Parts: sequence; structure tokens; C-alpha cells
Amino acid sequence: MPLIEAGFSNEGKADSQRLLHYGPTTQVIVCSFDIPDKIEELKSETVFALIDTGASQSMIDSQLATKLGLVPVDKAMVAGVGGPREHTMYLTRIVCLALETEQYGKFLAADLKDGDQAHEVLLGRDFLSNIIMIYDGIRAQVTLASPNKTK
Amino acid sequence: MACKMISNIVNVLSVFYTMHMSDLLKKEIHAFEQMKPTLLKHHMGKFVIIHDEKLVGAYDTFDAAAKEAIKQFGKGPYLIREVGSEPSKNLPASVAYRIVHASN
Repeated sequence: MPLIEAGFSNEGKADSQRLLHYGPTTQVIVCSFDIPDKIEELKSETVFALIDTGASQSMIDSQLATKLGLVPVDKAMVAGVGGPREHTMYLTRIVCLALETEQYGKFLAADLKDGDQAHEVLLGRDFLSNIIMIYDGIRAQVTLASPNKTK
Repeated sequence: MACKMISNIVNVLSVFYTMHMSDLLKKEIHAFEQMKPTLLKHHMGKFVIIHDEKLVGAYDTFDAAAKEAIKQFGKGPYLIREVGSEPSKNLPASVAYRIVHASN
């Protein structure tokens, strides 16, 4: 079963301050929904993702969507503390190699980078529905395991 | 200097392109809303593709609809939506509640 640490450490010691500041973080690959015949033509980016239990669905950064030339396929209202706002949804794949998981479909895009967010992807509860997550705040450790491959 | 100028031009063009795509997508959504009564009657639970404000087809799965849309229209834009299922609302709380500026 693939298992990773999504917390932070400094010289082997758990770094609770960085975990508090950034939240549980892992690396993912974002690419287009359709995989071209020639894999070298696939546009992709490896970015940091926040494991976000507050989001029902995973989201990607708007600038990243434009940069990768992702296809817009819908719009949806997102409720936040600033009130509801319309966001574009893109056809996307989000791959976490370390966990051997992949999510694909239409994902909301939010202005994460514009908002000074360190992450370019939010992995929401749809991602977590296939993952075991243990958040140990005392030891500043976050462990993720994927017993099955996600959809 | 020249590189920065080119980069700025590319950024401006990409903003315009995104706005243009967004406007086209709004037209597809408007067309979907107009067709909604018929879609609900004949294609409830199916994933439909709307392109050029016309119904292209109805599919059993999102995957099938997406593959067909890419095959026919490439980079789009086009609307893919499940009939009878409104796009849900999300609350990315960790981002929404992050303090940007604070004084001690």
C-alpha cells in the first residue's frame, strides 16, 4: 500500500510551524484530460497540493489551467467567506505518483497564485474519499495511504 | 528586457484568450438553460455536450462525453454537464480563512 508523509520536517525533526503555516502538502502532476499518442506532447506541471478537508472537490489554480491550455467545460458557483463567485471548470488530470492515485474529470479553477497561496492544487474530500489520512498534530505528522487506486 | 516584454505580451494575450473562452462557454451554458426542459424530459441523468449552442449528444458517463467532445472539438470550448445535476457549491475553507496580513 503506497504511503507518504504530507507533513514537514527539518533535519529529521518534525516542523510543526511549517505544518501549521502551509497545511498538509504533497506533490502532484497536473496535465490535460486526454493523453496524446506521443507522450512528449503532453503538457504537464509538477506542483504542490494542499490536502484540504474544507473543500468538497479538488481545485486547480487558474493560471496553471491557462498555462497548460486546459479545456474549459463548465462554470459553477463556489461559496466562500467573500460570498458566492463563479468559477470556470476545466478538463484535467491530477496524478499523485507517490500514492499511485489519479483523479480526472472537470475541476474548478480558483485564483490560488493570485491570492498568494503557496499551493497550485487543493485536494478536496473527493480525493480523500479513497485515501486514509492520519493527522497527528502533536507530532506534526500527516500520513496518507492509498489502499486502492482512485478513479 | 526583450524577454520580459515578450513574456508580458504573452500574459496579456492569454488573459484575452481566457476571457474569450469564458464568454463562449457562457453562451453554451445559456443554450443549456434554454434546452433544459427538453433535456430533463429526454436525457435525465445523461452527460450532454453543448457546442455552438447546439446539443451534440447525450452519454452515459462523463468519460464518454469528454472523449467524444475532445475528438470532435479539441480545445473547445464546449459544455459538458450532467442533466438534472446542478454544479455543486464548495467551500475551500483553508484558503478562505488564511490570514494574509496580521499585526501582533
